[in-house]
Amino acid sequence: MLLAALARITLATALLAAACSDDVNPGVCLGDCTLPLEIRAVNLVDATVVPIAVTNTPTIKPPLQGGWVLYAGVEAHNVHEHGATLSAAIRAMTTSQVLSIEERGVSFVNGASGWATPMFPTQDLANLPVCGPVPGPGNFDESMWRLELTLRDSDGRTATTTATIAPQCEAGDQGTGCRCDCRPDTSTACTR
Amino acid sequence: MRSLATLALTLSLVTACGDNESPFEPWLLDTLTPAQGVWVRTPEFDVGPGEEIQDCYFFQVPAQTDGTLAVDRIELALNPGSHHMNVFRVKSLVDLDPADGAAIDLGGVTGTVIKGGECWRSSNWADWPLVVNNQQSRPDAPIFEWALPANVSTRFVAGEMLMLQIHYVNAATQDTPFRGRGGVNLYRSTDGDAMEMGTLFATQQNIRICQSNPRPTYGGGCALPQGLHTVAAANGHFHSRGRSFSIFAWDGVTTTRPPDSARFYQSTSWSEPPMLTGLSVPLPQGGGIYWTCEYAWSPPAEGCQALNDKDPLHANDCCYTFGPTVETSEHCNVFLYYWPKTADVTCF
Repeated sequence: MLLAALARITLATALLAAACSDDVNPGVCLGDCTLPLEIRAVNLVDATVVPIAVTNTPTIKPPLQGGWVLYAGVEAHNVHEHGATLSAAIRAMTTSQVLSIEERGVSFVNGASGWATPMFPTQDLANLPVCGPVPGPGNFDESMWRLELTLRDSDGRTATTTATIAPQCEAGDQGTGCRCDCRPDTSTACTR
Repeated sequence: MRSLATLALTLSLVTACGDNESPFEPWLLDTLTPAQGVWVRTPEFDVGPGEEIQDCYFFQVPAQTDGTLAVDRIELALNPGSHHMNVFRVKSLVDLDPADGAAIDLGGVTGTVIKGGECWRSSNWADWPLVVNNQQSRPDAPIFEWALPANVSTRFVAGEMLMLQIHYVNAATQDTPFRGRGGVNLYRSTDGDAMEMGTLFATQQNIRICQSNPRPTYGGGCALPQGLHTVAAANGHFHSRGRSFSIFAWDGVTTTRPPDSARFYQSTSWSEPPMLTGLSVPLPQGGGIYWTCEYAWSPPAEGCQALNDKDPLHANDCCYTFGPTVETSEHCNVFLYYWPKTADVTCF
């Protein structure tokens, strides 16, 4: 009994010590961090991170616990590898209503395009919940939405950008459930 | 009747717990007549060293004189060691079907049980609205009692299928000193409550708490349907890496975290997070809630390899990722209760 108690205290102490260890190391600067932070909006189309200026049709995907999300975020110049915070929101085009909002820490690596790009596409892009039981007006995947993105680097510099997106369910049978949940006003029966 | 039940419970605990030094007073809820409401008791079950158990009990709301049951008082009881007990309304069936369960006597009702397996897979109940939840299982406070706000009730239709899910842990971060057991009493409202209680369940599914990034924070918003709503109760849920859980009123327009003055819930206790009842927080029209989960990475008792093996990104960075297992994964879930109900809301 005493040994068990000691083991628990030791574990608790180790956990506490680890929990109080250093915060994230921002890593190296990708670019020149004495210059202003620059960002451009990107989204995940199928499984590829694509600049929204090129393609603005993020794929609506099913995450682990169910529901639907789309992935959107930024590529950057003059940003540290780690420790940045990304805030993302999807807003209706005709009202000020925000449909979905998310905030997370993100990491970058040097990309082939010359921009620092998200280290892991699904993790270092915002995961924005969409569709589901409380949908936006009309059919979510047949509408245009305003995407608002803000990146705050580990040293406190911020940059903001906006873009227009047209989220898409996957084509064919794979997208049946998505079209069901994203089109609540459909007059026909929704069969998965 | 009650004394016989107490004696039986005590004897079973003495048998099960042997030389355990702490005295354990079994909790006891009243059994209810049909006129009083519905009562449910799980059987007692062992939770062995190193084990995590999650079982799903299914039962139907019994026949009612007028076809519906309005409930304005709820009691939830748990033996020490429980990680959570949630009650959901069963909707779309994926791979967790009550008909696949084993028949079981649950005291006031009969039903079926599915132990482990698909009961761990949260996508199986993705569109099942929350009814009520409880994370309180302290030996000195095994019963959580909740009187709903005046003129508000939770409503059920006779025959409606409900699921009681119970999760016990007896491992490094949480222990179960005796045996697992849960109980629910749903007390019938008899004073004609005019308004219905609605629920909101929101979760951050894509989270990583990694050795190289030990202090991450995740946040998100969840809008309610149009209308004016008031929060009656709330609690947050994460695992042992969780340090602070906050819920704010959110205007549905602003894209930054609301100010501290808008915060109505904060928990720094992952194992016994407070369930705040008696709240009366008006939410802005068109708005909802914003919530944040702050974490601090700690070394896993099972070693990093166990985490690395489960990491879908194969980052080899000792990352806790989204999942139900307390020892090796993390959560960031909001359970919130509001009135008047417009819809049961899920955000994920």
